[in-house]
Amino acid sequence: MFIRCAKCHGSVWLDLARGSLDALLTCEGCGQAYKPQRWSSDAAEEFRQNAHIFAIENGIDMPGAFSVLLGLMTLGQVLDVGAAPAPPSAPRSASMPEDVGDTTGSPAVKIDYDPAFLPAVEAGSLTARQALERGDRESFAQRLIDRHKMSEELAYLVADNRMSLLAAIRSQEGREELRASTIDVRMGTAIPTAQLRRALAWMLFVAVILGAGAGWLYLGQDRDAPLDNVTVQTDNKGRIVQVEGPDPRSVLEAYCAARRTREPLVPLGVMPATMGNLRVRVGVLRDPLNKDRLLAISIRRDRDASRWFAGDGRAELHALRAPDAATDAFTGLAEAPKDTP
Amino acid sequence: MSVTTERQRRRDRRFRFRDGSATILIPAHRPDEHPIEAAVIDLSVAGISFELEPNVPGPEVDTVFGSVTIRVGMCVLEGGIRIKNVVLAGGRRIRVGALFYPDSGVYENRLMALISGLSVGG
Repeated sequence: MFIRCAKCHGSVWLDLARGSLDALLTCEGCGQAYKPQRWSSDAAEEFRQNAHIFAIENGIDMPGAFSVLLGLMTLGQVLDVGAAPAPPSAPRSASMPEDVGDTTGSPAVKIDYDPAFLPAVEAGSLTARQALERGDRESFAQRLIDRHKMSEELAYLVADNRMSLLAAIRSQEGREELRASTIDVRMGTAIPTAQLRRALAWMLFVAVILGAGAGWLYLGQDRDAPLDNVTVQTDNKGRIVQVEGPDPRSVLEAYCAARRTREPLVPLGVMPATMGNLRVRVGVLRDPLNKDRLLAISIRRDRDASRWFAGDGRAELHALRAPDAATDAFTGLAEAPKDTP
Repeated sequence: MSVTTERQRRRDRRFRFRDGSATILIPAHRPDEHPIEAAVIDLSVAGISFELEPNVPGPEVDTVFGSVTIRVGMCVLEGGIRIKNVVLAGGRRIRVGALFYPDSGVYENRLMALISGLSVGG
């Protein structure tokens, strides 16, 4: 982990689980020395999780949180409201203060934490040290409610360490109307809602089955059919050979809507195709008849026209198995409506 | 006599990326929303800045996104971000600064390795 240097506030790398063979660590910025102590990997991970919550809760960075919890700095110093600490004359010990209590969660140790945490400590979900660091349980939960618009139930689960803060935030994200309207990125998408998209897909599907609408659907021979600035090109056998649109998402949606499948394909999202190349994206989709794996099409941007294309205009455009990264990214997303409380 | 403020002292070295060489992906919150991908401008031991394309509304300061993926070359980092700064950049883009919280020790180690590599590479 990176800790914040108490003297110059620079970052210093410290591996708690390995220690550093009793050697002193020195800050590259100011030369301040730190003597790390070796921790078990479990204790180090527990400490890291604690710092994670502490950092998010206080709006500080991870190195600052580590330094506060290690006793190297105060929260006030990290938050810029305190005076800079005087340079210590001796190497500082990068270990937890010894008088805080044990890390086993045993309530028998003399520790002055909020008794409201006792059930959680006795249940083993929270250590005595964590309870002490969280202060007043009710205040801690209230801060979570205020800052993250979290339900009371979730807030107390987090306070008692029965659920991680990030897990609680994620579960909130799934069910609330995205606070911050933040990233409601429709970007002029032709079809604004999932319901409309599904309806359109069904209409296309039914129309294809009935042989109707051949004049405007993009399934006619060599026909470019405009659909809100999206074009789907097919060959003389009605197979999709290219989809063109103003953005990757519209290309993906048009492809899903135009494909003749028993169940309409579901567009899930777009992600980078290759590291560092923003001109190529992977459009990820799901076939309702094959829920075990996600599919994907490659979507590329035209350099000149700023249009996005899938397919080469000659061979049939097939959706292939999605890369693992896409599966990791979108599997949870696809299941979110069912799983969120 | 030079005066160094707390804010200046805590400013970590930032490693800038060429356009498109690093990206951040913020998954959609619901199936009918779109994930956001943005070009990473720079990265430090504690935070990240990235630019949203025009027409993408900027997030509010202090919003926490619990699950993001940062890709720098072959290196993938996962974690959460807390938005700290949102400003207009050129071309109607929005530049966002955020604290980055790696999801686990594994990603912290990767971040350290990445920063080390960037330091060596200049």
